[in-house]
Amino acid sequence: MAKEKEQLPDITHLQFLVLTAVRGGDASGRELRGYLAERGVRRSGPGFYQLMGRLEDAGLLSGRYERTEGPTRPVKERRYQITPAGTRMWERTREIYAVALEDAGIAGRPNA
Amino acid sequence: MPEAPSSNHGALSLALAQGLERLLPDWLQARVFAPAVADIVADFDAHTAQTVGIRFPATARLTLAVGLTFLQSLAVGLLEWARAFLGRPSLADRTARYGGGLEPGHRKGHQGNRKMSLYLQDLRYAARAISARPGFSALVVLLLALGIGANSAMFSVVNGVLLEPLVLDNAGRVVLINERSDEESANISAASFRDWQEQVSEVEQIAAFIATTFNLTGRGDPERVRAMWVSPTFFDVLGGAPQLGVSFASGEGGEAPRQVMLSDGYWRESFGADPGIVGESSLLNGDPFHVVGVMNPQFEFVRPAQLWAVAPLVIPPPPMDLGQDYREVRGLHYLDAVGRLGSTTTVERAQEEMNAIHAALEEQYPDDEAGREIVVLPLQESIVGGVRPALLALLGAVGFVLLIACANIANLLLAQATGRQREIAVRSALGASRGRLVRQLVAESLLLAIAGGGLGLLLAAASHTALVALLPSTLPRLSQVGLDLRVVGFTLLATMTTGLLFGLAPALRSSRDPVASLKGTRGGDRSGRTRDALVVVELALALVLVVGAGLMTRSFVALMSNEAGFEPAGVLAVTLALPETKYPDDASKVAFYDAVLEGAAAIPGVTSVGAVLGVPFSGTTARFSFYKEGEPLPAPNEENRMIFQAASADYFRTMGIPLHTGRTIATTDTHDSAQVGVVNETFAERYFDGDPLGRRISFDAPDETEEEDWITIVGVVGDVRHYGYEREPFPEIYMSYHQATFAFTAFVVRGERSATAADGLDGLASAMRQAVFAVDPEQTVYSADPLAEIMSASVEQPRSNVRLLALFSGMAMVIAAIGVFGVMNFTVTRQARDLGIRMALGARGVDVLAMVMRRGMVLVGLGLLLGGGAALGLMRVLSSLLYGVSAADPLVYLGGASLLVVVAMSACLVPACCAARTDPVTTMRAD
Repeated sequence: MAKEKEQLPDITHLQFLVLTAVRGGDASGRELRGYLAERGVRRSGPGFYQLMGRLEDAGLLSGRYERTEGPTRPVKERRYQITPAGTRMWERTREIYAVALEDAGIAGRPNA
Repeated sequence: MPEAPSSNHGALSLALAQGLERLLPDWLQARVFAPAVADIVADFDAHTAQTVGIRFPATARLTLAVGLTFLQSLAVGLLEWARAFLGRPSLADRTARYGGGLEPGHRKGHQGNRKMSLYLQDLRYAARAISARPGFSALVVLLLALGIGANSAMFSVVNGVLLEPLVLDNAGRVVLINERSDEESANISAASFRDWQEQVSEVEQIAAFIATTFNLTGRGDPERVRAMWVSPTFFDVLGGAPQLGVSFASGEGGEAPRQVMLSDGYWRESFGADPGIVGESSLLNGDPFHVVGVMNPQFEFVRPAQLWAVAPLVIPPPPMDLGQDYREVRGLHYLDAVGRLGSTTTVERAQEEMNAIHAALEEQYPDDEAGREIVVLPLQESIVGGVRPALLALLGAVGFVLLIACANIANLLLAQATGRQREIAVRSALGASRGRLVRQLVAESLLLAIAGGGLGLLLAAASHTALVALLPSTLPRLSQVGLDLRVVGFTLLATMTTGLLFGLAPALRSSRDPVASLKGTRGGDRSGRTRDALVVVELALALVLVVGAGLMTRSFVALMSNEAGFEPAGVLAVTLALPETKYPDDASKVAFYDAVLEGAAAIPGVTSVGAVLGVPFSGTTARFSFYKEGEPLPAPNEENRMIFQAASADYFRTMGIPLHTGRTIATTDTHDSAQVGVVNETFAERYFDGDPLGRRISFDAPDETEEEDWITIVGVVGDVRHYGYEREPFPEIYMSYHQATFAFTAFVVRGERSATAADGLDGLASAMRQAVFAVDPEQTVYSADPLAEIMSASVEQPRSNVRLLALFSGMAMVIAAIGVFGVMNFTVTRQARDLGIRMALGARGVDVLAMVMRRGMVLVGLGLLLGGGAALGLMRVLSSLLYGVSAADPLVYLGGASLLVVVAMSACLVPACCAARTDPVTTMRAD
C-alpha cells in the first residue's frame, strides 16, 4: 500500500476501538460497552447504539438480534460481527496510525 | 428487547418500553432504543437475581431508566435528523466515497439515508401543515408558550435557590452545627464551642460566628453596618477566597491587631470599589480595625453581612456583666458554629460524633446542657431548607397548568383531526403506513411544541423582573435566580415531553382506520369520548389547583386573623446599639436612653414614645431561665424559660399592649429601687396559675440569690407574639431599662393619625434620627421602620405563595374554560343536524339548551369528582405550608368546585345558546 501521509482515517478513534474489539470475534452490545468502559469511554445506552448503528449503516459491522437466557427471563440482545469491509477499514486505519507514529519516531510500521 | 417475561419483575417497565418503541422510527427503534433497553433489563435481572425481598426501588429505577432511554433515543434521532438536514456526510457516505472495498451487500448507508430523507420529509410536511393553519397554530403556540414559559420561569427559581450549588470550595462539606432547645434552633456557649473544637474529629475545622452591628466612624457621617464577629478560621472553614487582599491570619486574634474583611457589596457601595482600602484602618465602635481584604462577590452565607471582623479564638459575648470569665459560663448561649467535614466523612457520621460529645457534656454539666440537642446540617440545607416545600409546591402547580394546556391542545388537535380525516385517509390509501402517519402527526406536534417552547423561554426571560417582584424579598439566594443552561435544558425537556404528550393521543386516534372516512362512515364516537375524557382531566387538574390556592388563601387569612397583641398602625420602630467604648457602664447608657426618649416625646405629632430591648416580629429576643421563690429547683429538662425585655414606662401605652392586673413599669422603678417585673398572660398562667402578683423570681438559684436581686412581679399585661403570627405567645417578663440595662435597644414612637398619614411615617423617622443625633452626633441609627412593615415582612413568604398559586389557578381555570367551551362548541357543531331534526319534531329552544348544558355538566361533574379525589391525596404535600386550616377543609373544596361549576357553565352557555337558536331548515339543508 502506498504511503498516504496526507490521508486521515475515515473513522474516528472510538469507531476504530470498536472495530478492534469486534475483530477478536463477535460480541454483544453490552460486552462492547464494558470493553469501552474499561478504557474510560462511558456512553449512555442510546449514545452507544447510535455509534453502532452508524457502523452498521456503513457496512463495517453487521448486527443481529440473538436470544439468550438471562437469570430470570430470556433476553434478545444485539450482537455484532465485523464484516470484510470492516476488517479492511480497520487495517487501513491502523496503517494510517502507524505511518503517523513512524513519522513521529514513536514506533515502526507494524507487520501486515 | 426482552421477550414476554416469565418473571413478573419489571413487567410494567417492559410494557412501557414496548409501548414507547412503537412511537419511534424503525431505525431508531431497532438499532438504538431496543438494544439499549435490553441492556438495562439484563442489568436489572442480574441485580434482582442477587436480591431477595423488596424489589420496588429497583423496579422504579428500571421504569425511570426506560423513560430516560426513550428521551435519549429521541435526542439521538433528532441529532441524526439534524446531521442529515445540514447535509453533513454520514460515516456511510465517507466510507463509500473512498471505495474502501465495501461489499455492495453491506451498503446499508443508503438505506439509512433513505430513512433520513423520510424523516426530513416528515418535518417538511409538518411545517407545511402548520403554516396552512396559521390561526390554529398560533393559538397552540401561544398556549404552549404560556404553559412552558411559566414552568421555565418557576424552574429558574427552583434552580437558582435550591439546585445551584453554593460558590464555596467543596460547599457540600460545609455544615452548620447548632443546638436545639425548646424545639427551636438555639445558640451555643463559648465553653461548649471550645469543647467541640478539642474533641471533634469528623469535622476538620470548626469556626464560631455571631451577628452584630458596628458603628463605623472616621469616614464622614457615622454609619451603622451589619457585621459578624467570626473566628480566624471562618473563611478557611467556608472555603471562601477574598478577591482582594488576604484572609484572616490564624491564631489568637485577641492578641493580633483587629482585622476586618469587607463584603463585595459594601466595598462597592461605601468605598466606591477602591482597591486602596485594603491595608487601611477603619474605626468600628471607636476601635481601629485593619482592612485585610474584600471577599469575592459570590460568597454566600446563612446571614448576610457587610463586613466580618475577626475575634479571638472564642468570640466575646455581647457586653453584659457576667461576674466571671465568659469562656467558663455554660449557660450563656450566644454563638453559632460552622464546620468543614473531613474529606471522607458524612453529615450522619459527624452528627453521631457530635451526639456522643454532647451526651458526655450533658452528663458532666446537667444544669446547663440538659434539654438541648445538637443538629449538624449542610450549609445549603440550612439556607434554603425552609423554602423548599413552598417552591416545589409552586413548581408542581405550574406543572399542572402545563398539563391542562396539553390536554387542551390535544383536544384542539383532535377536533382538527376530524377535519383532516379525508386527507389522512387519502395518504393512507396511497400507501402510508400507520406508523408513518403517526410520525408525521407527532412531527407536527413536536414542531408546534418547539415553537411554543422557544417563545416560552423568551417569555420566561422577559418576565424575570416581574417574577422576582412576586417572590418574597426574604427568599434566600434570590440573586441566583436567572436563566442558565440548566433552565434551557429543562425547557427543552418540557418542550419535547409536552409535544409528545399532546400530540400522541390525537395522532394515534386519527391514524386508526382512516379509510373508513373515505367510505363515508363516521369514525363513531370514539374521538368524542377521548375529547370528553380530556376535558374531564382538565377540570380535575384545575380543581386541584383551585383547591390548593383556596387552602393557601384560607391559611393566610387564618394567620393574619391572629391577634398580634399590640396595635402597630402609626408606630415607628427605631433600633440602635451603643458602642461599649463610649458607653461603658449602665449609667451612661440609661442617660442616653432617657435623653433620646425626652427628645422624641417633644417631636411635634408624637403622642407617646417607649423603649424596649426587642421589638415584636423583629427577630430580636433574649431568652433566659429563671427560678421561682419558695419552690424546689426544676429538673434539668423542665427549667422555667421566658423572654426577657428591658422596657421604658411608656412602652405599653405606645404599643397598645393592655394591662390586665396590677401595674406596668413606672418611672419610679430605677436602679436604686427594688427590682420589679411585669409579665404577660402566658407567663402568669404557665408559672403562677394566673395569679403572679407579689410573687418573686430570680435568675440565679434561690440559695445563691441576694435579697436585692429578687424580681417582684407587679403586673400582668396582654400577650404579644414575637416570632410571627403563627407562633403562640411565649412567657415574657418586662423590667425597667433602669434596672436591666443593655447596649442595644429599640425606640417605638406613636404619631398622631394626621401626622403619620400625611407622609407615611417618613417625617417621623427623620425627626427620630435628629433626636438621636441631638444627644450623640456620632451615634448611628440602625433602622427606622414602621412596625406594620416589619410585621408585613414576616408574612412575605405565605403572601407570595398565595399570590403565585392564585395566579396559576387562575391560568388553569381560564385554560380549562377554553377547553370546555371548545368541546361543547364542537359537539354542538357536530350534532347540528340531530338538533335540527329534534327541533323540527317539536323540541323547543329551551329543551335543546338544557340538553347541551346537561351534557356539559356531566363532564364538569366527572371532572370535579376526579379532581376532588386527586386534591385530597395531593394536598397532603401542602400540609407543612398550611396554618389553621386542614388540607381536607370541606369549605375550600366546595368553594373551589362551585367556582369551577360557574366558570364551566359560562363556557357551556354560548354553544348551548347557539344550539337553542338553531334553524332546523337551514341546518338540514346545509347537511
